[in-house]
Amino acid sequence: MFGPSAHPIFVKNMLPRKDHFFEYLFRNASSVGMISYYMRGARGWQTRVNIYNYFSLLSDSPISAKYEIRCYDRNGLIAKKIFGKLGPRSSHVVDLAQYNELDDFGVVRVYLNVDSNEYLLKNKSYGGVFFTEYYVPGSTQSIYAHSLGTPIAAHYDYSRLGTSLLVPDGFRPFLFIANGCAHNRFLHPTCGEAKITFINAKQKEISVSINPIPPLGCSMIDLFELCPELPNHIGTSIFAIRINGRNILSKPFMFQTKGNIGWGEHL
Amino acid sequence: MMIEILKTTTAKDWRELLAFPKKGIFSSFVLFDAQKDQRNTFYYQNESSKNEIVTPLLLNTHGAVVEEVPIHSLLVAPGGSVCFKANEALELAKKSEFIGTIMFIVRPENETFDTGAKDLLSVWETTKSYCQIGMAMFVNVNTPETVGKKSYFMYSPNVEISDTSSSRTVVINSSTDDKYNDSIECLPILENELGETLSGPSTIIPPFGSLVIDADEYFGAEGIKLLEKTNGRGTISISHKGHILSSMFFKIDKKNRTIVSGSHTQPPIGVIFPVVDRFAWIKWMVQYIPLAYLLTGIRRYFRA
Repeated sequence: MFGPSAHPIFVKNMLPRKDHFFEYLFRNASSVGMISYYMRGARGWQTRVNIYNYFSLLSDSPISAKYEIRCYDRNGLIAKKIFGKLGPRSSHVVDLAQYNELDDFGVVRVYLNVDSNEYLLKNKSYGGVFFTEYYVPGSTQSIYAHSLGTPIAAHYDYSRLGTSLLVPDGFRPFLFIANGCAHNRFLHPTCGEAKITFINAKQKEISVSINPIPPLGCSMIDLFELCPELPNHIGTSIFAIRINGRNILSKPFMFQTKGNIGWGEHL
Repeated sequence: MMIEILKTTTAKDWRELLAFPKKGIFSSFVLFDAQKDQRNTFYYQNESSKNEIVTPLLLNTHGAVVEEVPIHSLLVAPGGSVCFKANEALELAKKSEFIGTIMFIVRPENETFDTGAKDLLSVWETTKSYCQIGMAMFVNVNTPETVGKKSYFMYSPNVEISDTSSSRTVVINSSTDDKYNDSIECLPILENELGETLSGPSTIIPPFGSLVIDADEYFGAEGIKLLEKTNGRGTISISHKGHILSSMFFKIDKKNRTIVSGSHTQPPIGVIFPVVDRFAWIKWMVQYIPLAYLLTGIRRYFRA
């Protein structure tokens, strides 16, 4: 089952179906997936989702995998589900530009699971480490980003400090921020709240609150529009962002663009 | 904000900087060619409430310090930042080209070391592109306590070879141990989307050295042929037991070999994380059943 280069932790967590049949029946139930953000036309950028069968890499054996990609619109409603299978050591590049059902931007959630009739992952939640590539069609411009976190079916306080940030001269910063509450949406309140504090190199702070976000909803916030004093406050020096709030999906992602040039990094 | 130079260390003695018990290191990639439009700038901000001492230094791919670039230890007050312009430093050192890494060694001025929320911001910039990567700090990597107990499974997900672009993967063998002397053998494997593989030549990365894999050159015509079957796209993976390596991957402009975009890799074992919550089934249920989230109140009651 496992090759000589198998990851020791992974080996410990693969169980044979014959000894764990009940868990096998519910093997998908604890899958929570991982998320990132997509752009489909926002500021002229498109998104590719790169998925890799790392179960095969970790086991050093020919394990197959299956995946589900859920794309949510900015209000947190599922706009598209995409399914696929991955053979051993194979990868898929799913270009979201081909799906007209999608919003201009939103959350993309990937579930990746072992596709085996004999084994299951032991008593764990399965994330889905994946990467996104944002690109401008017809150009070589692109931004690579890794998946960012997991929605949680709970309500929680959120606090995050992103340091060593920079807005280079001429760039305009946008912040992707989403609600990480995975509760069923029926009669559920709009529960994502955040206050964003910008701390400049002189340790001076400016704080602004954003509009509430529904579960798995997403905002693409133009930071210079949200906070008109921000360009003068941070200049082109290094600064930090602190986010305090409720039910915010970890981690927010900063996207900056100047014409066709862009870059992005999570907080 | 003024930055004070506390001490200058000679290239011969640079490992003394790792001998301090409380410290952290950051590693990133440096690409310099005086003839090319590619600038490398590295930023570190002291977000703690105490003074820190920050020492940036350049290492070539063999793990040797660039002797011509002075190694200054800088005192950085809370909120203060260090900006290291690698191009300027290498031009002053009369280098015409350089491929290697930069290491930032950060330690507290006094006893307390706040290791939370620290990033090294790396910027690679040309007139046509801009790429930033935030690298996290290592406080205990490849030390006698950890060597042999850790594993490095890496995949570089966005490998692309086309007429205009190629991919570069950088693997760095660093340590927080001043006596570290382990060379690491790496066997990169190129995979296309169908899962067909090509093992590249095995390479030994010396201590504090790095391996730079330009997909089109490292795997040659065979690699190009392999990826052609799947639109020029695929992945690179490396499996290694015993050490931790840091790695990042880039899209590069094929014509002038400059960086267009990039990211650091993610450990694939991140797919597994334990559910330490015996009420996890409630979390699953409330995702699908309307109003079931009200049950979380009951859960809170039992937890209390």
